[in-house]
Amino acid sequence: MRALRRRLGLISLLFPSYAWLAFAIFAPLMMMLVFSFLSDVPIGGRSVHWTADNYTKFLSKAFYFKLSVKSIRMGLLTTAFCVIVGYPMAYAIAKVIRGRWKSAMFLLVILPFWSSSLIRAYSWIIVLRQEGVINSLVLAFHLPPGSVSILFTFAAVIIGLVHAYLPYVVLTIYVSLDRIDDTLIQAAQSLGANRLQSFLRVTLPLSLPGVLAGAILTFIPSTGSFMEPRVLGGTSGTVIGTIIEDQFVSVFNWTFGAALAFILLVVVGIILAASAQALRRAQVFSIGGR
Amino acid sequence: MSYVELEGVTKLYGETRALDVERLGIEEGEFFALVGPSGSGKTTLLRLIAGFTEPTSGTILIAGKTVQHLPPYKRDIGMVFQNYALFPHMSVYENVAFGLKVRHLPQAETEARVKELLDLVRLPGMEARRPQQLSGGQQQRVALARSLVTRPRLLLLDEPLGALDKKLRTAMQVELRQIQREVGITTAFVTHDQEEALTLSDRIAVINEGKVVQLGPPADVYEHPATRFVADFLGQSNFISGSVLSHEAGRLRVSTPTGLHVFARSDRALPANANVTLAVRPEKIRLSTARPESANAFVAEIVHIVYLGTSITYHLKLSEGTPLISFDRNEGAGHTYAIGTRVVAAWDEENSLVMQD
Amino acid sequence: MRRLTPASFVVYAGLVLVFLYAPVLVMMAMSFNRSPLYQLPFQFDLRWFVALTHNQRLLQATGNSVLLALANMVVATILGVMTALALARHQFRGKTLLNVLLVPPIAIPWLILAIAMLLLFNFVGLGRGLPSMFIGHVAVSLPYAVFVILARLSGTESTLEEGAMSLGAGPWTTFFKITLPLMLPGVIAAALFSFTVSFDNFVISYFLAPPGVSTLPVEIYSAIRKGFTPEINAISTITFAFSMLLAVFAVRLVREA
Repeated sequence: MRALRRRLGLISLLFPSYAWLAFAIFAPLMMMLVFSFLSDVPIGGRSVHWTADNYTKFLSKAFYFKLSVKSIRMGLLTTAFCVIVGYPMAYAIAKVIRGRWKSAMFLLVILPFWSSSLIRAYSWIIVLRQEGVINSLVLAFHLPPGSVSILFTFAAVIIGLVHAYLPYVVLTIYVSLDRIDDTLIQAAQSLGANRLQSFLRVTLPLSLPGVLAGAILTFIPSTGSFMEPRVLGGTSGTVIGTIIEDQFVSVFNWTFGAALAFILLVVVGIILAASAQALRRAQVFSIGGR
Repeated sequence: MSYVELEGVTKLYGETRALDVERLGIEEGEFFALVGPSGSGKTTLLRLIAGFTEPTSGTILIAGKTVQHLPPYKRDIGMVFQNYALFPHMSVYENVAFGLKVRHLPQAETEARVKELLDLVRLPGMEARRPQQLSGGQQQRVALARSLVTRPRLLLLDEPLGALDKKLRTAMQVELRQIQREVGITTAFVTHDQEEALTLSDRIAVINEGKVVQLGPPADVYEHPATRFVADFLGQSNFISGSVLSHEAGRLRVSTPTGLHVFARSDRALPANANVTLAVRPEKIRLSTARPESANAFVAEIVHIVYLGTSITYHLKLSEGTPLISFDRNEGAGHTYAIGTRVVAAWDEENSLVMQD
Repeated sequence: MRRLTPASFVVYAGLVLVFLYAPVLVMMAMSFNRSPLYQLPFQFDLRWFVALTHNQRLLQATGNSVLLALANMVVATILGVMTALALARHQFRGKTLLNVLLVPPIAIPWLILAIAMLLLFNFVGLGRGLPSMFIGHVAVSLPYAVFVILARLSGTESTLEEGAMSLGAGPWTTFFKITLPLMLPGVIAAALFSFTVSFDNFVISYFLAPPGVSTLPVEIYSAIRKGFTPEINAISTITFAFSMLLAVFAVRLVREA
């Protein structure tokens, strides 16, 4: 009797949340799959039929292939820069800086999570635009005006994306570095390994799960991003994300948009599944991160 | 000259004086124990010898070479940590071979030496295992093998047996000492377990509040503790305080405030009425029902018994009120006293130790 | 190779922090600048903040954002507490699955989730609007709330609750007197984080906003796309400063162990 009551209690605790997720996340995703195989949106009495046209359209046109390559390139560049810039930063906080400064630094790195990524992207406009701050600096150094125009280029998009995801990468790498017991490094040194050797042979391998977790959870959203490309890239910022946005906001080809989104989802799913073990080992989700 | 020498070494953390050692020497090939309570500075001392911290002042020499500014990887040491610090991402083989790989030793020789060491610590065939798969005792042995494979000339052990249960610990103590003798390596061993230090070492340094309080072979330090702290930290002691009544031909007579007269032996000059503290080790106190021949013989009542299996601890109260503890061998039920029994507690005057503080 | 001193790491860390904060600080500075084109020299002026108070669109959008965020905070936190309790204190099969199910809202790009929601909500007749946005916001805030509270709960011992029950406390008493106070910092942090996730949420609001109804991020975005007014700087400055204060408060709470 008690067991039954316990079970009921458990179910009543869990049901509301998962029902909500079912309605707001999983059902919509399935709906998206269904829509992607329709010719048109079945609303307002329109006649629709099943078709694979949306997918063939994507697979046949060279334009979409180039776009996918560009989007993946965007994701890879963002991830690479985030890891290269982020690792030494995480190392500095985890292993070099001590005491009150350590938690202060940690806090400063985490804070941007709590601000709108839109505002952060927008702030780059002010810095990068032709009449903006950078240009004033350019003039101050007597360089010809307009020679530094980064806004509305692919580079600007990368800068914006790296700026957005860097804190996250620093966080995941920091967590895995912080876990490494200092005595392991001391042991390596007592065995004759100098600082570089102990880093390469002990610290780096043990921090890889964190690096991998940060990389994957940066690559996925940055490849599928549309806000930074739109805001910072202008016409150079056309990527899969912006094309998908177009389908729903200007072109109104919802079924095609659904197909594109589903393809992106499949790619995301494959990457996540393949790296599931590494992500679990990094124990990313035990922290309240982004 | 000693193999390891510390001269005028101090270590300050801000205002706190963690260590203040005027002179300390560790001889080549000896098993040297550093023993003291938590926070006494013994680990600081070991870490200074290892090179993980630099002294605030003073010189540290290893094999005649000044090393206090050298990093650990240039000091040719082997070290075993309290948590073993085995690399979790490497197999047992890779752990043990680490020091050799760093020195770029050829593959064949590395393999041979790793096998030799694993045999030495009695873990043959464990090369492929991961540290997480090993028991505490096995991990400890891998850590030892790893530290010895590079054939260092100095071995440093930081409470290496602390994480093991009692029985395993005792067995490992014996093994550790055997291996050390076989290899002949100079060893510095830090522990807070005074029993362990007494069992294993050739010489002991008792450390308290950053200073070396007493140094010498275990038997010497145990039988002739210089201060009250040492008498209390190594083994146990009964402390009796009083003033000197007489001191003739080395025989000291002390009177306590409660009127107890205790005899001791001392070569030091002690004027009449000087305050002294005597330490009497519990195992030196004999209990009997008949009056013995000893100078110190007092009537006592047994107020509490602690049964320890191999021995029995009697808590006594002398007739004038002084409490004492006595250890007796467990010779069977017929030879034990019950609570409430009146006995005579006796000990030789040589066993009343005069404390220097 | 020259030795990498601790000092060089500190300098590097400083540079990275400059990279992270400089643009926003510039933006905040510009919101106090008289020039509508962000040109130097700098002239202190509060005109853009004043202009904000007359901008009805922005004010209404901000109001919607606040409303949504508050509702989201309440619901997501309550659901998060329930879920975290179930996952932390009970053993049952399928626990791993339930944990895994919390990952998609975070890991799947919100663009995909937003349009999927748009499709379903239209199909079932719910359409766009504040209720739809509310549903979406809660869905993506919930996993964060759960993880934050879980981190706090698993750090405390269930033996405390067992102790209470052995002393005669029933399940509700145990919850309110033992469990809830123990996890309170985590709950508050989860609440604050849910508020932020909703208040700052752009992607989901953007796709689920009908004409005439908007939230602050959506307004900012359309202003940017059109060629913006410096009032956007002002409102962004306020929002950013507010978020930072919230963040500092929340992180302090979570870190107290």
